Amino acid sequence: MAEADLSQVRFKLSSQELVGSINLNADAWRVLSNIDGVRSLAEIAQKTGMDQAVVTNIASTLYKAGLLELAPGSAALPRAIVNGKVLERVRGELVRAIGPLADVILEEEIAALGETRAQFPRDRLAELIERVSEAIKDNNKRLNFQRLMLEVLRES
Amino acid sequence: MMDRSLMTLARVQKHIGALLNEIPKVGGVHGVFVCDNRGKPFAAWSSSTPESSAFDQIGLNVAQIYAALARQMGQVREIEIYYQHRVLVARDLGNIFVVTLCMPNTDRALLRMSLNVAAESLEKDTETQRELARVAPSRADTLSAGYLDAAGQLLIDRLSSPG
Repeated sequence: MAEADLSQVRFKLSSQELVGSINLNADAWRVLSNIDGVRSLAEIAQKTGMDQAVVTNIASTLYKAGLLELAPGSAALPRAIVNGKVLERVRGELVRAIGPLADVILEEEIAALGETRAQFPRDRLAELIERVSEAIKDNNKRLNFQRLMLEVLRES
Repeated sequence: MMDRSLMTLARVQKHIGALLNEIPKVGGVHGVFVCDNRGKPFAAWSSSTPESSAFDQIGLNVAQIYAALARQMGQVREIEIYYQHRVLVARDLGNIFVVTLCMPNTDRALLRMSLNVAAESLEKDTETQRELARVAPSRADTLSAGYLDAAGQLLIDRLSSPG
């Protein structure tokens, strides 16, 4: 994950109606119980003794689930960056599916998304994979590629 | 006939099991249900306890939308509807369709790929598709009088009248 200034990122409980139920483990509860719209993620990590990356991941998950929203005046949540090995795995499977043209297609699609390989955001990885998989014309091969990539997405 | 129906049911349940297992794994998804061509849900998963009538109504409306779009522009595979800070994503799977209810910030590319993979076996199972078509042959039926309320019938009448 890229270095990020978490001292300016603050959350508060969401004002939107919650749909469904959510299960929280102990770590998630520790983070949630310290969310007050004033404490930054860095302060919560220090107070709870938890790793900053763990606190950020938990807050990001709760945010996506609709439990949290950014507090007024807060900086944006830093974006996680994809590990180079993960992109290499995407490249490797794409080469297996369509041959050496995979390198060109991968670079073109990364550029088309306005991103760079070195700093590719984790939250756009599925979008990139979907776009490059369109280059696989054989339906079965494309589905197989997407199946493998779903595992990569869940592991990363 | 009974054995064949049971076999079809077993196959449908197996296919739907794949959908209901995989799709909820996508972050932000809070409901998934599978409908026949008339919009009747026959399997569902939800993170809360929904009223079954809600899924019945949504299923029927989605079937009607598919039918109306097919009439105007041909076969449509996927529909996205934004409502009350939520998103409904419907995917056509032949003689069945699946509806996913999710948050607006749900990773849509991840959802689409999860649907592609989870639905593969059902889409390719021609025998099951044939049996499902026997039960509910056409979504176009949902645009007929028996399925429309007064407002819907008025809209259809106006769209159908010349000028």
